Amino acid sequence: MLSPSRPRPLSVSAGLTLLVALLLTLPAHAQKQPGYQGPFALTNAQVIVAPGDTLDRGTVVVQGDSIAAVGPDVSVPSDAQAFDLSGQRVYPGFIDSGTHLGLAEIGSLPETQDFNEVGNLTAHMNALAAVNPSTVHVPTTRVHGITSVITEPENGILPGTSALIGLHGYTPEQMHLGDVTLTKLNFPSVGRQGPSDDRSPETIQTEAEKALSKLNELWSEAKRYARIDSAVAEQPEARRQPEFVPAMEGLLPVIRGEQPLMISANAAADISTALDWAEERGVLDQVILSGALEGWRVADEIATADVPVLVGSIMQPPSRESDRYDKAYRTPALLHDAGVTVALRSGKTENVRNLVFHAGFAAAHGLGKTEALRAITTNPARIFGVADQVGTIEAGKRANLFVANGDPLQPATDVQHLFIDGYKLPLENRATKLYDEFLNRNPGLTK
Amino acid sequence: MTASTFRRYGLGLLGLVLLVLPSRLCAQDYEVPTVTDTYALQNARVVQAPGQVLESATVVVRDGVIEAVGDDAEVPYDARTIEADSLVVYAGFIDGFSHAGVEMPDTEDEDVEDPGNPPPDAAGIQPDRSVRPFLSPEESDLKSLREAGFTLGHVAPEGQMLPGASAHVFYGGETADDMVLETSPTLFAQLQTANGYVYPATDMAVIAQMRQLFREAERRQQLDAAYERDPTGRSQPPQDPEHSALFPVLDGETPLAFYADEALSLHRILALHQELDFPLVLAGLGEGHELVSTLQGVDAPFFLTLDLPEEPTRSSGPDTTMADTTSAPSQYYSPEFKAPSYETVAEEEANLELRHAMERQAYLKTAATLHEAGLTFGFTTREADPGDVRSTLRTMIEQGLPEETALAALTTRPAAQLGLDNRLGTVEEGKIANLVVTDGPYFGEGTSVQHVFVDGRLYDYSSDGGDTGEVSGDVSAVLGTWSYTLETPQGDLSGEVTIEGGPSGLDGTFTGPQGDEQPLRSVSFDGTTLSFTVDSPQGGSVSVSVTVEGDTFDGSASTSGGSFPISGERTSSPNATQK
Amino acid sequence: MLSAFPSRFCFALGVLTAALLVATPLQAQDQLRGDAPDDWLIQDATVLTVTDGTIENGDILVRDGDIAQVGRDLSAPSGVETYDASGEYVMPGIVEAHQHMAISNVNEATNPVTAEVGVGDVLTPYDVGIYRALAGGVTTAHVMHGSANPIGGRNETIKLRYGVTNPDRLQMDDAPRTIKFALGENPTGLYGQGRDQVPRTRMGVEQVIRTALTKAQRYTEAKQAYQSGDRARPPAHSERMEVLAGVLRGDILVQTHGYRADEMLMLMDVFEDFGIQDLVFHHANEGFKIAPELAAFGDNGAGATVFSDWWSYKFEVYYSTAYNAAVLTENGVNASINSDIPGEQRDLYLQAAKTQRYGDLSATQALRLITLNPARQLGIADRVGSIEEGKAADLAIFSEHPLSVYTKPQRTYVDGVVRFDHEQDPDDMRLRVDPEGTVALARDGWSRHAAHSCLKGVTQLRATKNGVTLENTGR
Repeated sequence: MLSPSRPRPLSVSAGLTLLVALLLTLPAHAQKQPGYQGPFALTNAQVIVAPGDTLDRGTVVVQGDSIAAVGPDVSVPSDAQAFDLSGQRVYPGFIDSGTHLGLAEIGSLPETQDFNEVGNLTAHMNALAAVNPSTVHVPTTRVHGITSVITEPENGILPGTSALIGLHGYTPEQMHLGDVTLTKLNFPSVGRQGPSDDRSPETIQTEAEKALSKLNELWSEAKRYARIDSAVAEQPEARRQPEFVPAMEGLLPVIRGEQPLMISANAAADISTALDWAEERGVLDQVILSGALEGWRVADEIATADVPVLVGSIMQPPSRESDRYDKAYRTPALLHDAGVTVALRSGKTENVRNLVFHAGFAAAHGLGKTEALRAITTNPARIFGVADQVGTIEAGKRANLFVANGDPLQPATDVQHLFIDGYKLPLENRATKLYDEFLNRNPGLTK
Repeated sequence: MTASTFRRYGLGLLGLVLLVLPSRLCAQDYEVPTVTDTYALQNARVVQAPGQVLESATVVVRDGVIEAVGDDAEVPYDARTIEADSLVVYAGFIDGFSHAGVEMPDTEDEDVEDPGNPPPDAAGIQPDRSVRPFLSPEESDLKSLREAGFTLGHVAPEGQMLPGASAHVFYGGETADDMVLETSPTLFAQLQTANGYVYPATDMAVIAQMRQLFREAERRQQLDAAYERDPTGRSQPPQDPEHSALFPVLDGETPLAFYADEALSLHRILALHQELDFPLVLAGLGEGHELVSTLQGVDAPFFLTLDLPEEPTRSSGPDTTMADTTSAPSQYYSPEFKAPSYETVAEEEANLELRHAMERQAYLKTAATLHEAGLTFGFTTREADPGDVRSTLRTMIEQGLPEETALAALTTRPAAQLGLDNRLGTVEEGKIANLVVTDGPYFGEGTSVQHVFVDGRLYDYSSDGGDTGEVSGDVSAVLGTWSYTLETPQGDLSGEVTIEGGPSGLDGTFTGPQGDEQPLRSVSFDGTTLSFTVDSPQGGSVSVSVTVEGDTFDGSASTSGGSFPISGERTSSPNATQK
Repeated sequence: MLSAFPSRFCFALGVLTAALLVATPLQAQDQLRGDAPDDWLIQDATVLTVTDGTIENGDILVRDGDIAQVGRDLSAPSGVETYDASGEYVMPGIVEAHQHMAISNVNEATNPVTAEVGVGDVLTPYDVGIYRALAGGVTTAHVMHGSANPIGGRNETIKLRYGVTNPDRLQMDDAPRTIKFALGENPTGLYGQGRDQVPRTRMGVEQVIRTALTKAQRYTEAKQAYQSGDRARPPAHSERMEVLAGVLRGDILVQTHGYRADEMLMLMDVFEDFGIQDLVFHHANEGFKIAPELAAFGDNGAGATVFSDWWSYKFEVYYSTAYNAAVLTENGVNASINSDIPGEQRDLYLQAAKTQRYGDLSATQALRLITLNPARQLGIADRVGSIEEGKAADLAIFSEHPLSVYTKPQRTYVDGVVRFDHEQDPDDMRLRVDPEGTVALARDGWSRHAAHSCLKGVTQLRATKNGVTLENTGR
């Protein structure tokens, strides 16, 4: 394929024009490498600097891995590859706040799944270590403007750490964005674990209580471990190292207040308990709630605790049969209305790309378009502490952005150009390649 | 449930205790011979049929038949007379469907070679069986049902989709032969899948299999007829007992008796009934209130379950305990309720609790609902706890079922529905001597059953002093659940005893090591000593007497053969379980 | 909390409730909309007819549950309710070609051929999923046997008349009978890998199907021979063969689960040999590879009903493209989009809209994927699938164009009866609750894996280092 921007069959003439234009201006190396850095100048575009802050006609200059300038009349460097984007829009790259992207390839084949380690207490596992930069899912995801995602381990009470990764890079380290690492805690639940969970309410309750008291014990032990570890560090010669307990080691950064604690909880009662639990242990300011399907029921408590929430997936039935049909869609709005900072998570692997539609549904169901965009740009950037790097189109930030011919949450809209860390990336992926090959298959019916 | 548990484990704890003892060596327990089978109940209030009462009459029973009923009936010379001045005589109750007195052999889960095409037994297709060989007069559920007033039932074998032919069975007798009034009035059927992953493993396959059996049986019947007309030159028609057993159903002579409580199952059975056009008996109907108008169009005897839903035990949490609203819940439930935000969550929860309470009430009202819709029905005890039968009936009456209808559903109606009304259902001269004698109106709160006649055989409960023993002192010292350990020569056995009730009387259950439950009899407590009796499913009984100290007890469990140390510890008391 | 509660609700409401929920026997046939009208005039909507363009400010007159008239400035005959749909969009009720909601059983996973069973015998009108589908504009669903067996059971086409409690009332009258076939990993995994039984391979699947169809041919011949006097007695009755004979006659439409191009080509060959003309492939993730062959099958082509963008959940869907529906459509295959999984049946309009991103289909092409096309696949296009006079008044009203991500379903009509109303409906739309239960517990999370019901009722396969084992998931 020659073109980094795949021509669309039904807009052939426009595609050709673009193609010719690109071929004329491309640096030689760019024709061989799928992604390349600028400088680039995106001119005459509507620039969504941040949700709620739109520049009607402006220019974005990308230099190296960063945005060099943004404004209505920014000067374009002479060596920049320029794109005249009249009628098009530039958006900051979207962030999905919870996925398994890169950690699994084929759902039914356990040997391709790397997010479920054995054991309940595996806090020392790091999702980043198992991220496959070459997964077929990355190119199909980013072409929707999704430029970074949280990818998470899953199993057990303390499955390990999640990482924020950018969707371009050849090693996990290259992909790791802002060193964002979050320890995940699957809070003991009094909810049903899906439709096949037929435990009695009493059993569920008892098991949850048991799990909670175990967690409490564990946490005290982890604090003790950290205290001993610190004490040894003060006088390494005089004191003996504690017995090496990998999971305790894994918890050190959280215990020391150096790392956020991402608590996954969905049932209302679990969320309340989790907030109390975190407050009692003095870690409330480190807590980020994830899931929160029933967060709307305790939205006031979450707001009071001042804990941000990664909501989702919202594209599912409500958590109770008695709930209104649209409750899951409305949860982000109900949390926002109560004063909670909300980001969206798709919870997906191969279909993280649908995050944009999740945002659209949240917008339609009370959140509004601007807040919905915030939930996949500035809010997660702030929650993960990388607001100085991503989330908006401002000078000095990473050049994670994309160009669309309309509202990127609308299915009919197409993404036209994509930049991650200043790399202009091709829009090709497995889905488009198969389309290109098979739309007019040759030979067709007869040889 | 209880009954089947016993059958599954064969020997419960009590059986074990009794069996390990050389009971004959210690011959304190013997039966007093009976000198006459003729009885006269003198000066009783006789409810001959619902609404038909003789205030003071004598009922004479001889050779299993009611010889005379009336205020002028003479007491025969050879009669054992029962002074019945304060007693009420009813016709013996008829159980429209049960597995009482049935002991199925243990079936081992054998590997089926081709699960997609299993032999008939593995598929649950056994219409050629009869319940007759599985009857046993010693089955415990028979005793407890009899004590509740049931004297005869429509009894079927247990199994899967077609477990076999039923029988009309007396709930009493010395031998299995005594028990049988009539064999094969119906074939029992249910939407029950085969065990394990064996065809039919789903309801839809059970339904398909029913169709298959019917249509193939039809074909075979035709082949048989043709062969009978002229066998020359024809090969012999294929034969197997499963298809042949269906011929009387095809001929409209033998109904399929289906049991189902769930509305969906009922719909499915009725659809099959309509499609295959077999005569039907329908028992269960626990959710019958959901399809009343459908039932109105069905020509079949109905038997309503005497099992009602129980109030749930709620998990802890402040929000779920408030909705004790069964008395008149519909007043406050709002079907229009919306919970737009966290601010309305508490109201929503309360509202939903009300809905649950209301729905529960709909079940309590099922009998009344069916009655009001003009449907006639008897009762089935299959899923009921015999000890709860009277309180269940009282609930149904409170919810609008007229008392006379309730009595008819226990007597005259099932007699008619089962085609036995020429012999059973009323207290009339010439009928089979199945009688229930109580010390007051049967549905009354404090009434107890004093005598039951089954086929002229007397079962006397008058000396039991009811089922309650003397109670004094602070009963809270014994209420609750206790775990016990019984030391036997074969090793320790343990299980649970639950003591319930109050100062007016105690009862409870005794759970064996296999989880089998038995009701306690004659529970007495004097502040320190607790004693009670438990019947063994194999016959005989165990008397337990223990001294209670705090949350522990110690004492002995005695059988006719000797006694064993028993000790226990209270695992929960009502103070802890109630909120 | 409770003490303040009763005073808020008046007694009259309680009486209403009693009528609604503790349904008095005679009205128990429809707990929710027993007396609801089925005569309507829907006014001033943007009407997306799907077959005859778009009518701005259009009206639809509904009489006795059918569409009586479509046009502009229609007037309401007396006694007809009106609905002001100005600013709103009306499209034909969505037809879901592949679902497993509203049934008690999915798979009779004991035998590779179970043509005699049918999910129509085990419909469950109480499934709140029916209402949730209505809340997504769905009015008709093809509820299916699962994909465990190469020849599974019969499916059932239902109308989403949520509120009725008699299962028969869900059935769509005169809808052709259909049957489920299944190819590929599901049957080979279950029987071959799981039970060491044929089929373990796609070769085996072919022969299981050929054998069953051949037996059905022989069965039919034997019956005919008996009827014509050439045979002394009829063959042993077989419900299974009776159904397959119906397949051979073309009375029962075959709906085949299949993902890979090769296995679909295989089945088309088999069907050509047996003279079977009606064939719709379900999932057909590699349908795009053989779009010309699908279009050329038999007299009318083979249909394909696909997922909008699901892939990668098993090996046979790894080489997959979200442009599948577009490639099929552009190559003249009658294609539709389905959701399969109970719980995911609520946003089919969004799934259809994705074809505008993946392949630039027109709005009408996209809408047809969830209306007319699936209706044609199910043989019910004469009654549903478009807004045309004489068809059933199955209508979905949306706040914005249904292909916009910001749209919200407002009302859904089935046979002219409002079965979903965004404004009016309360939260709790369950038809009944468990009398022994408490207020339902929340569900904590929801995994696609647990919900995927194509293999419901099947022991799960699990690969371990010791080989592949079976895990019984219960029925």
